[in-house]
Amino acid sequence: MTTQRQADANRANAKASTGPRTVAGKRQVAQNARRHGLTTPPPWDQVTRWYRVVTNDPQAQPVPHSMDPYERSALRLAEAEAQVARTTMAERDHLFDMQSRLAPTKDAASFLNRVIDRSVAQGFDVEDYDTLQLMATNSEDPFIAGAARIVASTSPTRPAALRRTMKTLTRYRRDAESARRRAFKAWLNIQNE
Amino acid sequence: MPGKKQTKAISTGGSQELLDLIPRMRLLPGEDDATFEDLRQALLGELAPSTPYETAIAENIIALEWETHRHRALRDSLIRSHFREVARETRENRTNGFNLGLGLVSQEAMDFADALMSPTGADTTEARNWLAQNNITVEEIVALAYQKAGPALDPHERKLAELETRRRRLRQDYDQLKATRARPVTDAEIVDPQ
Repeated sequence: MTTQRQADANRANAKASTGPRTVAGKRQVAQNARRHGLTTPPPWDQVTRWYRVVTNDPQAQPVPHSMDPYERSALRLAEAEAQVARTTMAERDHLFDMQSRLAPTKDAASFLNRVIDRSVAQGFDVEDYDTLQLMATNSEDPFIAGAARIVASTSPTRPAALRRTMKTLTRYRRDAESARRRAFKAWLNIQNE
Repeated sequence: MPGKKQTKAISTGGSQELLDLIPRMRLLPGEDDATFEDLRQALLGELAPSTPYETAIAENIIALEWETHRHRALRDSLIRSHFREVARETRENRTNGFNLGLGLVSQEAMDFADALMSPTGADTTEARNWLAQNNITVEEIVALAYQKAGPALDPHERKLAELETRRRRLRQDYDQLKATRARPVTDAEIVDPQ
């Protein structure tokens, strides 16, 4: 039986929960799924493929509301594995992107070549931090140089933003791995019954 | 090729379509494909997965092993870099009585540091003899290097601790999965009782 003291402590702790409280803050985080999609459930086709891996049956079709405990635990595990795979790839891709953006270049020509190669490979990005830095330092028009500096200060590819994104992606991956462990244990218990 | 996703097929435990689900390790520039593949084959041989799910977990274990190797290499490079710096400064101070400063280093000090970093050779022996003559041990230089590296080492040490925990847990899961799976007898013959 929970004591009154524990209940009061739980209530106080809940008020200190993280997350936005203002309308503007809530509006901003509502767009999180649009940036990387990792807070939404994994796509059903990926879950199906993982279900087939977990059950070792290439033709298996997961049933979302199955009453069979084995099928339910296998589906839950498949969802967890799909989420771990997604978040792990996102974290690795971001690390690779960070490394390619933040690695020092030996001279200005190498830096310019890197920016050009990235534009060719990924398309021109008006928010690319390196491109904006080049505009800010090389533009003869002080208005353009000033504008480039302002936009660069909020670029999602500036070093501080890249590091913050990395922390977020790592947190998503950790949460996914925790969920996976729980799902795996439950599935294994069913297997052993 | 740096950064190229590993796409080599695994010939154990399931169809290629299923195995394509597994997130493969992405090598950073400067990392060697061949070294990763050697590690991968060695671990696959040790783990011997026989089903797609076992293979999926085995690939994740391999990825964690590689990340551990990566962070160890980064940490060791940091320490070596500081070791070289401390060795150069030690030589400068003892030989000239002062540091040139402003990041300038004499060629003699640079050669001394390089010789000390090499495992063997006539120059290495000479460098160690010079240390002995000046009552300095290599361990003192290593200790100073660690001290200088200090805060920069923390992220790698934390990452290594986290990777070790994840690897241990995943290995436990793999062993439990192996123990649970009934092994199909491929050459089983069903005998008609009649």
